[in-house]
Amino acid sequence: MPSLQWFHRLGSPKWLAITIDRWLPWVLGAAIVTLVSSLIWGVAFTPADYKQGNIFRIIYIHVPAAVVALAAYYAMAIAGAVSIIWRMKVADMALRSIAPVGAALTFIALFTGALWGKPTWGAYWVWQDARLTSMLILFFLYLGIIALHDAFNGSASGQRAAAIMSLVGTVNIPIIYKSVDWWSSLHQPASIKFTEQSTIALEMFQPLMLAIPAFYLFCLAAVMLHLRVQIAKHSRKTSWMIQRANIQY
Amino acid sequence: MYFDSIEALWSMGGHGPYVWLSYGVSLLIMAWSLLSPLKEYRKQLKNIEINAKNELKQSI
Repeated sequence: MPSLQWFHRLGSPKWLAITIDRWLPWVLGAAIVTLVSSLIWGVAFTPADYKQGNIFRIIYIHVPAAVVALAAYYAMAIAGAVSIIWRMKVADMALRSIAPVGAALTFIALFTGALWGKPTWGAYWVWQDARLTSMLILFFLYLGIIALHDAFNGSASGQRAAAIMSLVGTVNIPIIYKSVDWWSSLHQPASIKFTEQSTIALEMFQPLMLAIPAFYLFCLAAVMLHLRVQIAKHSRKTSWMIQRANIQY
Repeated sequence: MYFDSIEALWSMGGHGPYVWLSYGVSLLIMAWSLLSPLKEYRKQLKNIEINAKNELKQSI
């Protein structure tokens, strides 16, 4: 079936390795440029918040990191589903590659949130808050998936266990989204809305609109770098990989 | 720039330590997220190269 050709190609580690080689410099370059410019813009060229003062500048890291950490979880769970249903090797590599990047982004969201909370709420951490707790669970899910995957020395059972855990963990995602609406929470509800007027000033909004794609690009670049490692591990005995090692190393 | 001086940018009206620690730690983690797989990839390629050479020697 010609319409499924892309699917077969995507399943080929060799094709993926070549594609990553081609795209990595561009994605990485774009990530660094957008990241540096949006953060400098946000930290030095945006007016202070009339209520919170300068502490709100943490938003330019906190919000993009949290948004992309959640999006990465979706992508990882889809990879987990594909890995279970079609036993696709590349899907398992994607799952293992997304997990550490998602964990890093979730940690950044938690860490910056704690530093934002101290001067604003008077506490680094509040256990009663559902948004904070559900994000902490997301962090442990990411770590758990990495641990499960590696616990069986990369065997099929470990891959399967990690994929199942990623699917089960999707329950947490709507909880994170809705936590600020369902439970009374110190964490403020979303300021950026797609269906109605956003409750954030345009001057503060613009750098954020650059920072969010910047974090997506960063995530993509980091996942590509991790994927390359996974491909090298998996295809280490193949002639094309030995040839690559010969040229690239 | 929004701030009047570099000192004002640094202190951020008392919020400086929180903001700069957030940015510093986050950027360090992000840099590490890029550099650690890069290093690991080189290590893998090196191992593949060494193994290939060893197998070549054995076959001769």
